[in-house]
Amino acid sequence: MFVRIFLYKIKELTRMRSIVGWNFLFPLVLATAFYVGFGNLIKEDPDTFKTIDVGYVNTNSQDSPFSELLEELSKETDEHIQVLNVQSFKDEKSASKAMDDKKISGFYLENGDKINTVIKENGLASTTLNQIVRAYENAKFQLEEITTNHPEKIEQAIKLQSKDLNLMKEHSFGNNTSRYLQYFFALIAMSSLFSSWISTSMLNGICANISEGGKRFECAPANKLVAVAAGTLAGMLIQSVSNAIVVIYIQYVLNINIGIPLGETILITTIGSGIGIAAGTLIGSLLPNPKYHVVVPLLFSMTCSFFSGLMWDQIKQLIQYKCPIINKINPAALITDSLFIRATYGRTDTYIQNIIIMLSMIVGCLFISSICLRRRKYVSL
Amino acid sequence: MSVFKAVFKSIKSTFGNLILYFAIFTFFGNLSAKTIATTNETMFKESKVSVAIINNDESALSNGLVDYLKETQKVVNPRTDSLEDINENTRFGIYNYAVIIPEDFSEKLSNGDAENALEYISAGASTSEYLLTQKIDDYLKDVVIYLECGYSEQEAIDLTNKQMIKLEETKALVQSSTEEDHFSFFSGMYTFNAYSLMMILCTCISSALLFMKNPDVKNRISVSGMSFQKRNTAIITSVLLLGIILTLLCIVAVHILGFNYSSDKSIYYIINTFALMLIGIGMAYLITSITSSENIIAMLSNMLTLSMCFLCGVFVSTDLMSASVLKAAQFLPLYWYVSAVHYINDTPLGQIWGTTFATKISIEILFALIFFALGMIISRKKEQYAV
Repeated sequence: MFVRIFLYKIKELTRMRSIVGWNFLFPLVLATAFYVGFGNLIKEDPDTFKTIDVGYVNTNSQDSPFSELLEELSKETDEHIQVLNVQSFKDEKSASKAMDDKKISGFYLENGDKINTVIKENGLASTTLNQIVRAYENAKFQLEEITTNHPEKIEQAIKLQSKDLNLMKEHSFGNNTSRYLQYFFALIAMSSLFSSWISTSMLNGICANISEGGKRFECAPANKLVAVAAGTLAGMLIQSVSNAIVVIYIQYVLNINIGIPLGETILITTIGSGIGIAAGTLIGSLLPNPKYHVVVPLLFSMTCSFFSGLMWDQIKQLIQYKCPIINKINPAALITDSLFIRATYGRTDTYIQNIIIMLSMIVGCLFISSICLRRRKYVSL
Repeated sequence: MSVFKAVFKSIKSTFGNLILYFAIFTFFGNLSAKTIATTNETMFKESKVSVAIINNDESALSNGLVDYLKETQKVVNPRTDSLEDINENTRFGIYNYAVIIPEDFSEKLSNGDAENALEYISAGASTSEYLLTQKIDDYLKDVVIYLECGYSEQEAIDLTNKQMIKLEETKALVQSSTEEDHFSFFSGMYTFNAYSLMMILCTCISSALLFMKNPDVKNRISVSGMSFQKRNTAIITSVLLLGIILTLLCIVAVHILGFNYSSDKSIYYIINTFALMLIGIGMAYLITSITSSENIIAMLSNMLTLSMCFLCGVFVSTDLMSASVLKAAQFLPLYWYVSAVHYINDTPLGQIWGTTFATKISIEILFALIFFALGMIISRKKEQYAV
């Protein structure tokens, strides 16, 4: 009986146009829109340091140490960073014109001992240009101070100033997952939660107070637990297949490396589908009016997905910073977080914790639903 | 009047959706607009990097560095000890940089073994990362040089701090400033409005139109004494009025949230929003002509609106998109809405009203008319073939 109900449920659910549209088509369309819109940003981070085009006007008759500094900063470092791209101008007017034409971000004007930084607008690039002058002046002040108070150490000071002391190092985490990949993880989470209306649709067919089919089902001499379990598993299978299609589409068709082995991604999304199915069963059992069986799961999936970063990638982290407990009760955030952690750090304690919370959510929702659904009696139908 | 009232009553079931989209708009639209809003500056203003500090040393040297960062940058609380959480906070822009001062920091500096004395976490090789790394490096290098040259620890800290404060006087000169250099709060809000208003309109108008398509309702109205013309006029007027009310609701919300910002260009933003309203109504009409299923209407509304928002620069700035995507996006109505918002933002007040603005608004209206025409063709064909 289990197999028969399982197969019939698969047939029934796959013939529902809305389920095919929402669960199979919608995530693929959205993934394509994401890819077309900002797929390039995953490979080329827009925040990466870009060489600053700067002008240099020296009104003095000879070269200064500052021009040597600019020359030094125009060379590529060991980390493949070229800080400046310097263009020399004969006077301030021509440099201003180049700045107005957006050929340079600003220019240095050296007149006697004084160096002025001229910029068009405030921002990080302008602050960096100004900082170069500050660092140059700082070195001058320091040498003056040491010459006054410890003249015997001046040679050592000059030597140290010209040396790269490597005082700082960046903490390495292995994989650097792009923040734009977060949108795709949130999309996979949304797709997983869409299984919630698979279970509300399934409940429509087994509750006597909702449909004619439900009346026939409830009076049939079939084991209800087996029937509900078969239906739930059928829904989960359909959603897992849908998720696998989305993941394969992102990884192999759109060619975006998720950074997690395919099997493990499908495993995480299958647990996500389980949450969707369990949440849908809970919604269906708590709200007997079939009018709400589409709207409420839709609101549930979209709200959870929004807070997991589907439309604004910062939101999940903002919640994590201000009130992390919300991310631990939002199923979409748990799925997104599990995928992000697995891709960036591997199987950490937080990853295992997320999986355990998701499994507990499934058990909790199904337990409450079973209490609501068992031994129902109808006064009139 | 009864048809008119019925249309308004029919949207009762969409109140949940309406409140949700409106809440998203007022809360997150506001937050996002405030984050990206910039002002027009004529004086040099140093960009401050938001930095979280974990000080495990608590020595005079480490406290000196912390004080320097507090004075020159925006120091925030990391709120966690987990390096993974800190990494995610920097990656997603909660703060730009994190400095981890190890326990043996001052010991290393004093012993002359200063290599890798400090650790930092940043979101890749960005400009803010380069800038702050340079600043901290300059500071530490000064301290190390003073210590190596025979100064005491306290002298080294005091001299370095004094020097750094003196250097604050070295400021760049801002030569000119144009409207293009800033992005106003209203531009941010009206850009986000593209998503909220489209979803609100598609949900409510579709629900109303679907109600009027219900065979029972349709038949009851048909057998009533109301003429065909009167009936259709009532439906069109009520749908338009509904659209206007919902649009005004969003506009009022924008202006309440932005009451302390200058809003001299409001009239142009409002004209653009009403053009968006026509697109929203047109799209709702087109969707309801395709299907009568509430579920599929919700799916199509989400699919079309979300896709357009991602492709037309509502959620992700158009500056980050490739030229080919932007060219393709010109065939979508939201591109012109967002483009008009940017045009209003970048153009001086007296020069907005002109051919460019009128062209953008006209294209938006044209898209709305195309949606209406498509909807009518589909409805007619469906009636013709009894689909």
